[in-house]
Amino acid sequence: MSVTDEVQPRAALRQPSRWELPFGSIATSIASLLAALVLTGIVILVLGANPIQAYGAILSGALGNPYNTGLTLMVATPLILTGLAAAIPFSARVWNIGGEGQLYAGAIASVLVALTFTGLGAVPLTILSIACGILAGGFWGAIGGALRVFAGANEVIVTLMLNFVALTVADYVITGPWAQNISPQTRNIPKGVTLPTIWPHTAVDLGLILAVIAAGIVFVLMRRTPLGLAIRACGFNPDAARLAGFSLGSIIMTAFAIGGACAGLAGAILVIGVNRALVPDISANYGYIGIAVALIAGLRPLWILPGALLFAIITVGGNNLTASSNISTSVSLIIEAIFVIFLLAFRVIRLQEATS
Amino acid sequence: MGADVPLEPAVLDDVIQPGPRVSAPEIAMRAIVKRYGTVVADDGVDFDLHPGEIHALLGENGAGKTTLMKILFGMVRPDSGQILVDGDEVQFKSPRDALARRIGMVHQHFMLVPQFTVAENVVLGSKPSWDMNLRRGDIENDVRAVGEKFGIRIDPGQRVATLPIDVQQRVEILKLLYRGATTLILDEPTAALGPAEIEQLFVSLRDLSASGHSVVIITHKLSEVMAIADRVTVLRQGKVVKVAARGSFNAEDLAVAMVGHAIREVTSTPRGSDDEGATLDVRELVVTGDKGHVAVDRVSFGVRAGEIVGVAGVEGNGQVELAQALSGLRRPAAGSLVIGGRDMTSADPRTLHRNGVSIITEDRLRWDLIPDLTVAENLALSSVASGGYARAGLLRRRAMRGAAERLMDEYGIQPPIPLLPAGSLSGGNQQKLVLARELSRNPRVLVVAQPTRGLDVAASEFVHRRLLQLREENCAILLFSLDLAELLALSDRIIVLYRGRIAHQGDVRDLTTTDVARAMAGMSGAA
Amino acid sequence: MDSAILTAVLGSAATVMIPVLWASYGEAIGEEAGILNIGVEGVMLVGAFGAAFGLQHTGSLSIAALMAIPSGLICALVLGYLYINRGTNQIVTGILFNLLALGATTALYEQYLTGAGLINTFTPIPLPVLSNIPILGPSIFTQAIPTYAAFLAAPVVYYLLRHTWFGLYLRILGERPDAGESSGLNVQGLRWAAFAIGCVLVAFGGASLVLVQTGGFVADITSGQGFIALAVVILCRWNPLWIVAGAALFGLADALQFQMQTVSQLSSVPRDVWLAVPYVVTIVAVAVARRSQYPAACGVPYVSGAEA
Repeated sequence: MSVTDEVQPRAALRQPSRWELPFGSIATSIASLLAALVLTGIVILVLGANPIQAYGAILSGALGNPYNTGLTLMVATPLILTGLAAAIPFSARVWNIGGEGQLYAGAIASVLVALTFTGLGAVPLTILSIACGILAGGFWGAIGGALRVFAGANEVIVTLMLNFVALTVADYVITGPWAQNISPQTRNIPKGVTLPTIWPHTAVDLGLILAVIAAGIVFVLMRRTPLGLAIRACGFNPDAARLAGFSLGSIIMTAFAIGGACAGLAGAILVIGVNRALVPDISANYGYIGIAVALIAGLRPLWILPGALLFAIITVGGNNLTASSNISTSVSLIIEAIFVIFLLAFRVIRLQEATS
Repeated sequence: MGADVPLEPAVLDDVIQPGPRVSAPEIAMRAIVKRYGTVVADDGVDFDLHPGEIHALLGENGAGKTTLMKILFGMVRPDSGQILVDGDEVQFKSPRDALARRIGMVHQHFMLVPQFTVAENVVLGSKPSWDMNLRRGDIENDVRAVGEKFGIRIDPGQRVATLPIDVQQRVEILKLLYRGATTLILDEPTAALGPAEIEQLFVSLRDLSASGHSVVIITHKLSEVMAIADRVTVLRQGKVVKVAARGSFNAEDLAVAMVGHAIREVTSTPRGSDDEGATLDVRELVVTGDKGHVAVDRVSFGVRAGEIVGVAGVEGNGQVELAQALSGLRRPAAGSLVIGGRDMTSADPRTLHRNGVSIITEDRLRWDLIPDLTVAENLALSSVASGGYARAGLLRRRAMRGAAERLMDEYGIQPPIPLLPAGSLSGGNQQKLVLARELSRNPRVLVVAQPTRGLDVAASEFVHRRLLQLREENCAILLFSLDLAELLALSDRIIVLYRGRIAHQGDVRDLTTTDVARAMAGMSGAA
Repeated sequence: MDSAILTAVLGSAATVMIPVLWASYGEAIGEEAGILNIGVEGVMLVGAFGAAFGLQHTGSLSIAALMAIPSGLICALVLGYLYINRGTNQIVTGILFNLLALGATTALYEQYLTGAGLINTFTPIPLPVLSNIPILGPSIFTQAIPTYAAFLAAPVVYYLLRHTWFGLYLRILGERPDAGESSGLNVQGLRWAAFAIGCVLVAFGGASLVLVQTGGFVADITSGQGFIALAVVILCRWNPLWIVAGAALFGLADALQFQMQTVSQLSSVPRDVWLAVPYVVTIVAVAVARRSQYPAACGVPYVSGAEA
């Protein structure tokens, strides 16, 4: 604690200034994306297909026609929200890995409400279902936050475990009292409870707008409100935040709750919009991919929008792969993971090294 | 710069004795250059170490001393320059290479693993990692044997965490001796020691030198150089400004060389004590430390408005815990803290702020500032935490920026750009930032620790003047500092902490440095 | 409880706990050296795939088991480079690796292993004498070879960590790597070695999942067992002997899940409740065990003084 030669600044969660793109260097980011494509191309070759063909299939599968583009946008929707679910707590340097579970919590709540309160009119029921989905996701996130704040539990393990718990609850809801006779899913929600389609002849519904609005609200929250400053202060330096007078516990709880609420909204949109019921695998790892989206966006809410779109393109395009070439749709996961890993490895994304 | 404390023979029990005769090499460093980005730490430095001498490397903070020695120890690679050991040019790629040449370094912050035993720490690195046979008994015997050669009596099976700091230092030195080091580099070895322990250390070093070891002491304290060095090299801003042998230098020469001009101190005229009640009233305060021990042991004192009370004491005697208890960061186990008549014993920082308490800690990058946030955000941080700068749920950012501009102007913070990240400011400007934030609240009570740590002379003078101005404005100031000179210059009254208790307190005009130094070493009985 | 059920539960617990046990050994070694690998789930998955792949192409259980070594080393190469050489944020990198492993193993599985005919597991071997003990004999003392190996590995790993110079240096790297470097240790090299060993053990956990329990691979076969290993390690304070107990706890929770459904009084409880039990138990245990602290430098990439 005495004399030091203070020559090196500490590594820190580095959020770029307003005028800086989240990528420290656009060239390196593009190179990373290309490297990911090349590496995955090799994997595709190993799998016995033509990489160029495969990538062509991905692009056309994602954007080739208005319907596919619509599908892409509808995959981007939950990714935006799970990206937010990760970005907010990450900004406070607490690791919310529970986006998947929080999404399911929202899905479960919204389907249960939609199937139960059928006496209400269609529109009020829709709004109620979505609201309950948001609340359920927030609650599920708050559990992780509470255990971290009050019990000092490692939030990575807790939120991971909560994901699996949510999955088992979903399984119960799907196979239990609300099950439908034929396929493994719940009964369909009432007809009028729906998110209106906003792009005719496609699957794009109001959910997309809700997700974009959520991103806007989170942006205002993080950049223009005292809570946002508190979250960022806590993330950069919890000791200094504490001395300045912030209550770290409530900041962390709030960050988890708001993040969980975003993921819960994703779950509600998935149920009420496209699926109209709770089906198994309603989320294709959206929670985890959302973490990747948050990272490439540098944890910045508005940059999550293009990030989610990019990953949606890869994911939806990937679904087209088995149709056109004989490869697994999981190839999209490979591309996404390698891309972000490269960005991390080459310091394009810089995150605080220390765990809490 | 502080009078010398006379020796008391009884204290010199635990001293390292001259061991078997060794021959240390002649070491020469030539034209060493090391840059960190745009900062030049060492700018063409030449350094010579003769076998068996005690050589002081003197300079202010940031002068390049530690970097130079880290290069010698292989921890840092120079951008250019040579190192010659007994005439052979060597390249040290890591401390392993330096240790192979019998060069060892004891760092300022000890490189000891607290949970491990003395023996485990000492033998670290001495055997190859693929050795499958580690017997606790054997290594403890080995360590004990080496210790006995040098008169170091420490139980090798004891966990380092339980040892006092001066004993830990001996463990660090034993580590080097165990590896057969003949050249020992000590970085600020007396930083955490009291006067008696410093004397022990000096006798130890003389013994080691007598048996042929070379010793380099990195220090910024002139008194140490005068006491022990055979030769001294003075660095200033990365360059060698003076090399001299014992007999051809005196304290004033060295001071001028170190700083570049004669040192002017800011001093206050101590105020007489009024009969007002204390604004900050501490009664029977008990605070537990991180390891569960009693760090502050029933301490009672008061600070009146318009008074500076200085807290002296060797590092690690409870100052940090006391300061944290007064800052709302650590809840006292017992006792009370009353500020302005209100009970603030378990108040959190926000409540303290609201009641007119400002806090400046000794580790500004950890507690006072958030380097990644902008200057404006840092300046407004505690206000925002208390609900300020908010309207309809949104931050009033333009108001924040305006307030920041005013404060930056008033305190001369450079560069005057509120939207810069606070981390890009220099140490002195960062300290001004902290001062600006905390003092602009017109506090009734200021708890401040190490306000001039890491600052150059000009910045230190600014801080001192500000504190005295605050005193004029009737603030009650509690000043923690490890710099006795600073305390004596600024305080009206002084409290000395030793092992968590007040070993001595009194009006500064009634105290001598000797009284204070004795109290700091636990030799009270001084009234 | 009926002794047949008890035997079934114990026997199944002893089998089911083994993947988590191996993975916990591996993760504990890595964490003691300072690396927090959330990607343990992915490494297990790769190990499982490697074993299934080896089994499919050679028909030999032993070779399939040995496939854990190249599987683990490949993972160690990728993750080690990221964690140690590039110093990336370990939590996030681990999550991404899990996605990568999931994608890669699923894709390779769908390409090469779907519809594969060969399914085989190690047959349980009753131990002489011990297997005659009532209840314990047919359950705990009649297990497959990888299971016995897992239990025997506990004192070996313990010895490695506590009674070798390698283990001493490892543990110092997890607490104060700067002190290690200052004493001449090669921090990065030692971490690589520890992490590689750890990954092989974790991969072996995945391999035993296939070779002792299921006989074949399916997508996402590990479903969170790697994460449970993370919890076991921290709960059992990185002590291999305690880790056996910790893994046993989860094995029991998992095994009970099957059995509880046959118990008539509890048959009204939905199956999903039992499925959730291991995860809930983990959460409760992690929440309750407040004093478990990671080694001081665990999870923090080390920047050598020479580079600073």
